[in-house]
Amino acid sequence: MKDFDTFSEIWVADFEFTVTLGNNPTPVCLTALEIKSGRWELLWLDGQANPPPPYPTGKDSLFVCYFASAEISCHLALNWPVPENVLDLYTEFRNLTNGLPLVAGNGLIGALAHFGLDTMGAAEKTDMRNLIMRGGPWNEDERSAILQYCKSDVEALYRLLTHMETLIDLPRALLRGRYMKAVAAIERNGVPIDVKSLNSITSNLPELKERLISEVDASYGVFQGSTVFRAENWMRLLAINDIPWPHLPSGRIDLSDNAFKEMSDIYPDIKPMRELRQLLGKLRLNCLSIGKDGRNRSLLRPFSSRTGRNQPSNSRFIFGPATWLRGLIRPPPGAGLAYLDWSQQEFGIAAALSGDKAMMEAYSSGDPYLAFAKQAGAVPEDATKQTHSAERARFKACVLAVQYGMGPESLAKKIGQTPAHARILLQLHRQTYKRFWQWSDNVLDFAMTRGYLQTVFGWTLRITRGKTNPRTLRNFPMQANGAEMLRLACCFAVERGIKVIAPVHDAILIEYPSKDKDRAIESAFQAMREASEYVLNGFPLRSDVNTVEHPNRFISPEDAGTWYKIMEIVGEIKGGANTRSLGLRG
Amino acid sequence: MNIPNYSYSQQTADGEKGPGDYTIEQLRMAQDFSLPAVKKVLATIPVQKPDRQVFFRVCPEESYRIQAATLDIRANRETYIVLPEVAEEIQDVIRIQTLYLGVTRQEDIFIFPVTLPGVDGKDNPWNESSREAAERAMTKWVRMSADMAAGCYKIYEALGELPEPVWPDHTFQQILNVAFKNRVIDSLEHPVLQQLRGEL
Repeated sequence: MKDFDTFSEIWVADFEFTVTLGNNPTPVCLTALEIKSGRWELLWLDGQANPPPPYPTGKDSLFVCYFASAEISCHLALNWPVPENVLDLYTEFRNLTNGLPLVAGNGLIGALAHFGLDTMGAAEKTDMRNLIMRGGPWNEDERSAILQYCKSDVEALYRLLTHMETLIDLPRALLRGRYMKAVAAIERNGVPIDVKSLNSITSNLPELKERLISEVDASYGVFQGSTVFRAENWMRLLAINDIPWPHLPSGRIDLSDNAFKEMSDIYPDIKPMRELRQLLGKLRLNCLSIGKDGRNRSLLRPFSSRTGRNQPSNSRFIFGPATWLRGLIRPPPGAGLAYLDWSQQEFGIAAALSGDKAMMEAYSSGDPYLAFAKQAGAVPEDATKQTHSAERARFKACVLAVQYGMGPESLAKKIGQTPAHARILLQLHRQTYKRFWQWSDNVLDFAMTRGYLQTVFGWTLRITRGKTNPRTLRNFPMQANGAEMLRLACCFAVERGIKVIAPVHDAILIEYPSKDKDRAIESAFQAMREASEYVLNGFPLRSDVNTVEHPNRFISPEDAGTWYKIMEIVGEIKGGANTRSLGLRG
Repeated sequence: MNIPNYSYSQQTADGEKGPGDYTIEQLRMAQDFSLPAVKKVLATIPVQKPDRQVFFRVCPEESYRIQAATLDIRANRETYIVLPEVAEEIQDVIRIQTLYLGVTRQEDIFIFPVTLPGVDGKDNPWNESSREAAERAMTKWVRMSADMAAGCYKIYEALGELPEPVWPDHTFQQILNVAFKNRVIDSLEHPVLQQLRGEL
């Protein structure tokens, strides 16, 4: 194929490596096949002193692998140059099948099986994996067996490449490969964790739960023993206080957080119990993967969601559990952290991609919610956030409702007004941003008639009959192009030497030497701005930043109360440790 | 950690672009979805007075109204259009009406029939007020509701500065074809007239 022919060498490669939870991989061996010449390279790496890469990594050669961040991590571990052109068949398989049912998942076997190719050699052989993960030293026979095992993966990968090459949009595939390189760097950096505080919490978890329960349950008497929530006790309490409660279709009482949330809006006395249940549900800390260097590392699982977003493990990644636990994130001495996110990203993307001038003006005003209220004629032109806060809040709720696909009933609950009021607000949005709505209708029509939707750089959602919610389709351009934007920003930032330690939804978290704070933040801002301009054809999105310096913690003011409360209880359990000295981001 | 910059800007020796030679701008695909993948089909268009709660506008263009003979079959809540050669023969059951094109705030179009005075010039307050509503609706958003005590329609103008209506890009003939699809009386032997005569 012509595109592939422009490379002088095409290397299909696979590493075997050992890795423990939270730590970076240690390469064990590499096998690689240059497909034009048929040349094989089988390289034993364990115990070797600085071996050079057996293939070129410059712009004339192409590096092909499956789940590239792992292979690039091995390059980084070996201090090898990172290949300039990375083609990741995992991301391309995801892109070709995103939205479709799969026969055997997204792994190498799944991809081979999907195309009806022989899966021989691609199977994970438990005994071989165990042999590798056991760690060295390995004897001669073991080495030979591991290399052959690694080689069989490359043979399978080559079969897959031969089949997929005509299906791949190579220039855009290389852009996705570029992101996988950034992912490897980000994963390698890891998020600095205050391991001492984490250990204090986890080692006192049973007592902590008991204390939290006894504090709140004293007014309810619902828990049995010290930790078991009894539904019958809750029902009795409701009956005594004459409080009606939602039930499930099965007839059983609805104990979901949604039910507690709805009812605590009506009966505020229920709120502390809801908060307790939420807190208990999120106190699962044992799964956080922390490396020997005190950094949280978890696979970011890029391109895993339908919109192409990362989907890291909720239990292993520090940004997965409850937000107050972000208090565990603390920059090391001499360093700081900056959390940069785009302001009203989805609104900005919708405005720019739809070409709705009024919406773009609203975004550019700096306060799209107030601008919307002005454009709709609900507040005077000289209104400000201070003079018309209530109106602004209503119009903000309306903008978010449109983004989430809410109907008038849900919006009414959100703004505490009648569905009629909510309907008028939604109608105002349609009238004020007509072009956006026409575009959104076109997106839906396009998806349903053509069977797919695509982002600016080709991330594709395929639509299977009757399985895709219209709301998902309407939101796809905003969310998936938002993901493109984040990927580009990560690439730019990493390539410019910024230490990105985590992408989080529409934000990036960077770490910097305190003396270099301004330059690092400015450079990250620039990366985010450029990324937005590339995705939105020249329309820049603004970004906000929050910073924290050692010894303070990365925690928002909203979560500070919970953090302090937990640490105070932990301190009491341990015998009166001075929790106030733990510090808090200002 | 140092990841080298990745370049999309190099050209191959013969000037052709390789996959690694594109700038990011060149890789960007349009997101305008500007050509609607579907066109709204006019499947049904009601012929009726606007609902009393609905604000509406009437198309002011002369080519979007017509005077025609109509016949209401109230039992079925159906309005038929009667061709002139037939209408002459059944003047006692038909009405001469102006058929206006109307549109609601939700961009739903409808045919608004307003009865003209009889051949003797006699009019009634219901028709007069309907006609006034249609004329006002050519420039303002209005709604009309029956005032049984007064024996006419009350007309209300919208107080807010509402945007101008969006009109369909179909001709009035195309709209009428849909509105009166299968409801054209083109001969005295039409089943509806046979029913009225008690022949069926």
